Amino acid sequence: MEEKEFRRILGKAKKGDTKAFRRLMEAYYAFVERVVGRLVLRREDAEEAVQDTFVKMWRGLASFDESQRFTTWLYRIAVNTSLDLLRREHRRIEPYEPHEKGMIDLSGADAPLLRDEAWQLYRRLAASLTPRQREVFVLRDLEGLSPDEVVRITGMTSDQVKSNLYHARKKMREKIISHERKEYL
Amino acid sequence: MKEKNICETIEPLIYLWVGGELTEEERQRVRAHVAECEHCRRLYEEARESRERVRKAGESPPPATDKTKVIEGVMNIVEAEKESRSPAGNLLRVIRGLASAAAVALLALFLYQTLWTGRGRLPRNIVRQEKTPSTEWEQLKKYRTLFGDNETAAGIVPFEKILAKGSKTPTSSNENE
Ligand SMILES: [Zn+2]
Repeated sequence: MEEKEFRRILGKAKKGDTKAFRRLMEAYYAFVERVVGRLVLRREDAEEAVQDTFVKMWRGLASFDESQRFTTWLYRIAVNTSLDLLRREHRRIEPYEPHEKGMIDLSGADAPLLRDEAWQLYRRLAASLTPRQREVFVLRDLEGLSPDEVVRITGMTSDQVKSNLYHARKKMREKIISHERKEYL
Repeated sequence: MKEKNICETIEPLIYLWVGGELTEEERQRVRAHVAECEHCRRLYEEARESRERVRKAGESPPPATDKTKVIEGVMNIVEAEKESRSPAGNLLRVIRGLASAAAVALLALFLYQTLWTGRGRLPRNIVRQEKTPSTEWEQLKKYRTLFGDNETAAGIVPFEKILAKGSKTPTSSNENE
């Protein structure tokens, strides 16, 4: 969406135009789906969190300050919604979903199979992190945001962001090492 | 022992170094240590590699959600909320509010009329029906005391009898005798 067009639609949506809101949601669907998916790790949870994120976006639009970056604001909603869900459903941090293994075998083409294997590896690694560690890791290492922006989105101090990044990277490195050992055996 | 302590303080910085979160001063410190510490040099290589691997894995798209279903779900909530806070919705709510206020007022008026004002009207007949015989009885009792007729089991004594009895009172007869 072009900047000028985006501003026009945003203005309408802020005034309560549901059609304009729907266009915004469609434009940012892939964005929210990606961020949320990387945090909650399960499709069912992702659907719930994506829906909640957009409902909160709708409710907050009227008070959204347009001098702020829209994506920073949307990141914050998506991240907080995902973390709320993770905290509510502790057991869901479980890394394995056995039924999905079968699904991988059914997919014929090579590319989706490799992509799915990569996703399964990521999920296993990310599942070992606490929600806070996962949050900073996703924003900094996967979304590629600046440390300042991570601070703005998470509401953590700069030191807390660094501390969580350190623990996240360390834990994942250890996981990768033990994962590789298992594969050799 | 001293060596190990330095490596421990350097370790967190190594993990931040690979992500580019160190200040210039910190970076120089780590670089200087790594240049002469084999252990930390290896750790640096591993941290850098594993970060790259996780990033590669994490860059694969998460399983797709049902976009149509999710968007419809959101729109249902949004439309419902919009209806409840739109000016038309407000007007409707004002009308509904007024209507219920009017209903309460009418009920209060009805209750007031039947229980309070109506007390002098609707139950009046009942009161009269009760009161009239009792007043008559009181009158009758009054007559009896007046004319000295004692209450008999028979009840009402005919007025003529009372009057007749009264005409020949002992006082006057005594005077005459
Ligand atoms: Zn060292």
